[in-house]
Amino acid sequence: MSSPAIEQTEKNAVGWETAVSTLPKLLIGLALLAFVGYFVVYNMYAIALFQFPFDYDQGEGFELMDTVMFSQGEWPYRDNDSYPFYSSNYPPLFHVVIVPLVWAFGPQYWTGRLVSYLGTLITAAAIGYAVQKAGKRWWLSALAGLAFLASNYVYHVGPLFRQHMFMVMFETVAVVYLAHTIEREEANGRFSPKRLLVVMLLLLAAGYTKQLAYATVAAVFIFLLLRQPKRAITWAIPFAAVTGLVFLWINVATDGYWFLNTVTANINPFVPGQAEGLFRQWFRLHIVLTIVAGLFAIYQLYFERLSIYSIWFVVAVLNSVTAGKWGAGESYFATAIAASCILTGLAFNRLLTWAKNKPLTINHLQLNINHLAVMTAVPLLFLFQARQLFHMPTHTPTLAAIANAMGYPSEVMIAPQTSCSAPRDPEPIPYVDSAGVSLLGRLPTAADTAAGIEITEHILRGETAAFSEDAGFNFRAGREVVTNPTQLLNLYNNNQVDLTEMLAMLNNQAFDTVVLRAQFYPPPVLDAIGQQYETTDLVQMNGFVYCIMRPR
Amino acid sequence: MTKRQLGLIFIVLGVLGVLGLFGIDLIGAGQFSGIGPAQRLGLLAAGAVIILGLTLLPLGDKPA
Repeated sequence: MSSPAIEQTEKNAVGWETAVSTLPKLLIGLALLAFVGYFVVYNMYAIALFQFPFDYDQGEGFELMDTVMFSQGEWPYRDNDSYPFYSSNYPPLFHVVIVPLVWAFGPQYWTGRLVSYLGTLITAAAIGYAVQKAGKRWWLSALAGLAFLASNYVYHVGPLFRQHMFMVMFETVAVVYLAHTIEREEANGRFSPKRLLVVMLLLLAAGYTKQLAYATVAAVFIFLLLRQPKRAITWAIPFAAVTGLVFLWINVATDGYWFLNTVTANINPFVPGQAEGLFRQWFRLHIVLTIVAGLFAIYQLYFERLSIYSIWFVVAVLNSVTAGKWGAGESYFATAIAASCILTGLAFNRLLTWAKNKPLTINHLQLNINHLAVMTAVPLLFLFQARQLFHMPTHTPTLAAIANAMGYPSEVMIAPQTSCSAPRDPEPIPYVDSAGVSLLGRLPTAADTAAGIEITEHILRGETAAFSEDAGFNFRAGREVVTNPTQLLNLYNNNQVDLTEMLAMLNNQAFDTVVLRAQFYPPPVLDAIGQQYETTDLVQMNGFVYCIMRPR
Repeated sequence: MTKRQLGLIFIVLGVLGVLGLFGIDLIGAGQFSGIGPAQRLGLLAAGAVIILGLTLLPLGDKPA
């Protein structure tokens, strides 16, 4: 071949190689766009919730009530047998952290929602940090962190006044910091007790945010036992002692109501079908993250040392079976999702580094086919994962058009939830979620706020506090919050509450208003309400039909 | 800890799990006569843990 012909062939080859090597960059850009899109959607939902002044998820108001009690220097672990029949089944830390906001702004729902939301951002940042530290690929670190926030489950509960995601934050930061600490110690051959102390304090904080953190505590000590058995035991004893002493202190300070409400009343029936359904849904929604994390954990088990992340992932997945308990739910998978995001990032980093160091070229081409294949596959897998996680409000024409372009409808027909009134016809809801029909995720509207105000006005027509399944209406009316229905049911199911005084008050029609949403009260309480009160008004808020009842 | 030791721990845990699941019948707990569905699932899981442990034994003194 003549010299100009060779030059032309080389030029073509270079052009082709340039075009092919641009493909991964394009796919990475698309994957980042998809996950940044989810982050935008998450923020839209969070901002809408910050502005909504009533319960969005049942139970939020009672967490606000716990915070109000702490802000007044009182414990929320109390006697349920006497008026106002209120107690909490959650540890204190999340509520204590919010106390300064309640001091400054009063009992506002946005306070706890903001703290929980910020907790999810810190978790995502910790995930990104762990992946970045291992591979120094900013786009992969960003995708791993954003994937956590894009999870349907994290989206649903992240900006709610619930303590779960705050626990996940402490767990994630503890595990990432431990991984960093052990890596440093093994590199320089010196123990860092101060750093390990920080890990222990973070774990303690996680446990006193929500009891479920015991799984992460177990994972950390299993890891330490594998790497440094003596040290694991040395640290386990004081950790258990401090945890126990704090427990004992709160129990003594509350005359035993701490143990009764957080332990005894938390023994709820296990519903196997609920656990199985949630496991199937979690796997379907997070299929790429879960499979990659699982494969990487198996790889580490057989071919290298197990990392804290692999152990954490396995223990968290096993512990997710507790999502089958009555009162539990999808949020119980959040720890496993955080662990899977880190492991996926680490696995892909490892694969990319391997592909870069093991070049495979064809003929005279300079292109590393290995690296190109992995660089193409990784963003493609993230894009597939993004599709699995699809969730989006569709209340604006642009969002509706995006949903349609992705092959989803712009509205979903969902019947309002009724428990105390006649069924209603399905109505269009501008929110689409691949998790299926979800009560969480839709943006609360001005109509929902107006509905909450209307219910409050019904309460204000009477003189007393309402006997209400949501705390928000009494908060807004400036009336006392009476009982916590799910906790009351927990106690009733465990034979730990005497309903005599409450039933007497209901039978004497001591409450001017009763507000029902899901009829979570124990059966004798619902019987008394049914006999003494009648429904006068129905108000729909957030897809639930509330029954406003007055004395017969 | 080595891979072999980790394997042995898995085997011991699996065996204890199997014994515990049969022990449930001995103390008369559970609502099924014979092996119930939950017990069957538990036995499968315990068996899987034992097999996992066995596969780690050949890896010898490699760090776990």
